[in-house]
Amino acid sequence: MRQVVVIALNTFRENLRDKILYNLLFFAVLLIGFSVLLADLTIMEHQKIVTDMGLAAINLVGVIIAIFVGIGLVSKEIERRTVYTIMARPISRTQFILGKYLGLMLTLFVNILIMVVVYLATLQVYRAPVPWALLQAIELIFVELLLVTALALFFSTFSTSTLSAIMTLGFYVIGHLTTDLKGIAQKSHSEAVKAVMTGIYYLCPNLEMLNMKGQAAMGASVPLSYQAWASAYGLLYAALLISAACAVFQRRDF
Amino acid sequence: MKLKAGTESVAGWLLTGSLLLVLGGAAAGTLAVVEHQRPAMVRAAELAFLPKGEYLRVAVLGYRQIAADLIWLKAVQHFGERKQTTEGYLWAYHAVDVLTDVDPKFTSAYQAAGVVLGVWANLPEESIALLTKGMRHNPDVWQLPFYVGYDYFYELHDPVQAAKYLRIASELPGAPAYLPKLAARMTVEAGDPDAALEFLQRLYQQLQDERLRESLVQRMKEVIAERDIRFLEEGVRRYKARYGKLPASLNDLVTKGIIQQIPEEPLGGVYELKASEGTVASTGLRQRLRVHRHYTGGFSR
Repeated sequence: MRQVVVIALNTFRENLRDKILYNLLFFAVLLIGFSVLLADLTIMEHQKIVTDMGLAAINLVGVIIAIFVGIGLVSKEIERRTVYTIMARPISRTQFILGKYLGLMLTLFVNILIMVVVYLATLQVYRAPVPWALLQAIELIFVELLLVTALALFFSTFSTSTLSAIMTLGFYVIGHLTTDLKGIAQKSHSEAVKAVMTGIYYLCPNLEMLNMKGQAAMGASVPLSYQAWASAYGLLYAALLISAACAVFQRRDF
Repeated sequence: MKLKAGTESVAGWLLTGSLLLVLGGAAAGTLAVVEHQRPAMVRAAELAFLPKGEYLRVAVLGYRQIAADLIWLKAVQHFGERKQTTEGYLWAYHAVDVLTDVDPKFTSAYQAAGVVLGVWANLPEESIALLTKGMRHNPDVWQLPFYVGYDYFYELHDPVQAAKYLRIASELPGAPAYLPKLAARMTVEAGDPDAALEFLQRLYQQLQDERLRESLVQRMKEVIAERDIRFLEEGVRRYKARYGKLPASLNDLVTKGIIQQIPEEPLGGVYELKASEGTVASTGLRQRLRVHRHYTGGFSR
């Protein structure tokens, strides 16, 4: 456990040294820039746009970090050959993967925390309401980021960085469209199509279940039980990916 | 030594394999629960939260067609529901409105949504709004004004407007040869069930979808019932003119030789004489078609 924490903290420090938090500047420019740009719109729309924009920016910035830092977690260590010095110590490969994952999780958490503070402050400035649903949506965004990080980490244990990035992005897109797959399966008259589509549906992560942005901006909250189940789903799927990543990494030669 | 390593790795594989299976199963199970719990409002309102088409067109960069296709796929799911609420249809309408902003040349979306909204959803205004929007962007597609004609004629009971759109359709390339004549009948003999029947038959030939066709067959049966009712009422009037009183039942018309036989009711009911007023009603027809009642002045009395 101690080893995992050490690696996690190391990863976090490394992320900070890589100037990951510069993205917050990008976030602030996006959020405040747009707010200023749209200031001459009517008051109602203006508030809505700031609310939408903030949620979208938090999500987008988070996903970019999750994918592009996530794929580098393991592959960079291997490319720089620093992985040998770590593996020479009494640290198992599973601990290494877990530590790396927890480290990025911490980075993402801190990142989101700062973004949320800026976001809420912006909403205050524009006197936009802060419904409870907004925080629900942000929590589910964080779960989504954990899932995407796990995807990136999983792919990077057995393929190159570029390929991992492409695959993770691909799964991110698919994850938002799988509900349509299910719809197609239900409407199809062919049993084979139905079975294949349903199979793919349960195999691919369903990120749309974690997406509450549209409703949250309208102030419509979801029941807590839904939030709990959806979070459980995201975390279970992430656990599955991390376990698979550990299993692959155990058997990998480098 | 080697063997031991072998069994060890087999055990390892089994352990990892079963762990992954358990986690995968748990994830799939949770997903099943989550999608069940997902509030119906959220599920149905997905389409309602679509951004305005003018913004979306910019946001999807160059990928307009594929974005429109994806929204269409979603909207079709809602159109296809056997039991859809008016609200659901309105959301689907909104989605098609947005996607045709993104890709205004998506003619099949206008056509399909227009027909479904008109024939099934009982939302002729929305149907006409979509179809005429389609006509503005695609002035060469004759089916669009043709379906507008259907909405005006059958849903809004306005044969004059219907004829106007049929004439527009008839002048477009590829329009069937029967259209000008049909348009003429529509205006001259407004309210004539035979003209309505012909229109429905032509529309039936245009549509491929079995369920839409079923709905049209139902409409045709209603028109036939209406035609029969008129025929019988005419017989009752002739009976009264000849004998100075109303017949006791419709069978009297046959026995006295006023009509050859009572036509078969196409909707599965029977025709009955309302002795007090001398009118005829069908037990299968819920209400007489307004379109004919409004414009019956010419022939019934």
